[in-house]
Amino acid sequence: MALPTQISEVGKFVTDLDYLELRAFSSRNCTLEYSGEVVIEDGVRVFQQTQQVLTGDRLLKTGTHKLPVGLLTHWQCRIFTGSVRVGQVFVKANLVRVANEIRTRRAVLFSGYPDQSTDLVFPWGSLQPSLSGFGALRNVIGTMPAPGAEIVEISPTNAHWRVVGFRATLTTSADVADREVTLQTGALFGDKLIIPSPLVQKKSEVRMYHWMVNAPNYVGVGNHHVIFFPEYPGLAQQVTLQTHTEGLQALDEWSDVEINAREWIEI
Amino acid sequence: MKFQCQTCKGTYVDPCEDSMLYFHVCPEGKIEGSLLDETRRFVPFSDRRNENMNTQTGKMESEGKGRKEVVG
Repeated sequence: MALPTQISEVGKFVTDLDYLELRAFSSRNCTLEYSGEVVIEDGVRVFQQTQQVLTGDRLLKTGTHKLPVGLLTHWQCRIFTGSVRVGQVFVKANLVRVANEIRTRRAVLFSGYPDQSTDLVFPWGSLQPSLSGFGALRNVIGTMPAPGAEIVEISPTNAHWRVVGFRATLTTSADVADREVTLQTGALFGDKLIIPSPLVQKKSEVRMYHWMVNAPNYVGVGNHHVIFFPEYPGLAQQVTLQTHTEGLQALDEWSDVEINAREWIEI
Repeated sequence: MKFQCQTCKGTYVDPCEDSMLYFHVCPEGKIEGSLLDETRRFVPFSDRRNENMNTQTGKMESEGKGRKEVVG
């Protein structure tokens, strides 16, 4: 094949054994658009385009795109539809060769988080790991458990949470008992990090607990009780954040469960 | 939309206000009875619901007893 002898761009030569593998994880419904250019025989430039529809389940979606034989001079990924912020869609584009039934990844063209204003590009783009950047700041309203049950929240599959704050209200019944509240993180129903409240809650009280990073322990007006997080609790996928209330009674009730967290796709 | 888990009777909103999916998981169980008549005890939930996605099957980890939409 006679390729042009003077090519100023950086590129990847593509043979008929090669294809693009487009791997994407998303926490939002959106459509990605990939496009690029291949210089084929006699210096002819061929435009390439494909799309990938993603649902917000953070599971891996893999697309493939066969390129014409030539020099891949440019490839990019942008958000085509959907309101996407940084930290919500992670994309990796690989150039793959299959020869003699052996699959080889020849190159990673780019990896990272595209958003409304940022495209991922090859060449001169970046190769970001999935836990890079500031993540997406989220406010998650959790489950209000039935009376007598604890709060259990879980970081979603393929998500990484860095918890900034956790808030919940405990309303105690008239049963006479001391309630001692702790917040715990750990593998599903296992305990690792335990952050206790230094105060005891008595019967027939309503108290709002705020576990917050870098906030001092204090009791504010209106029974707001702020509890210090020693550091940002980082939760890998499917790790629980749950209360454990020593002395909890059958008619005690947790409510107003709210988590503030920065979230990344973790793969 | 607001839902009630039919295993643990907890209520939650899905999708979240930021339009991202919410994944409910049941607590281990709940307290029943009273201290007064010494019937207070921990009752574990059987068939807990875990809405998190299983990366192998692409479906939720455990359906439990399902969920029902509730008003309010």
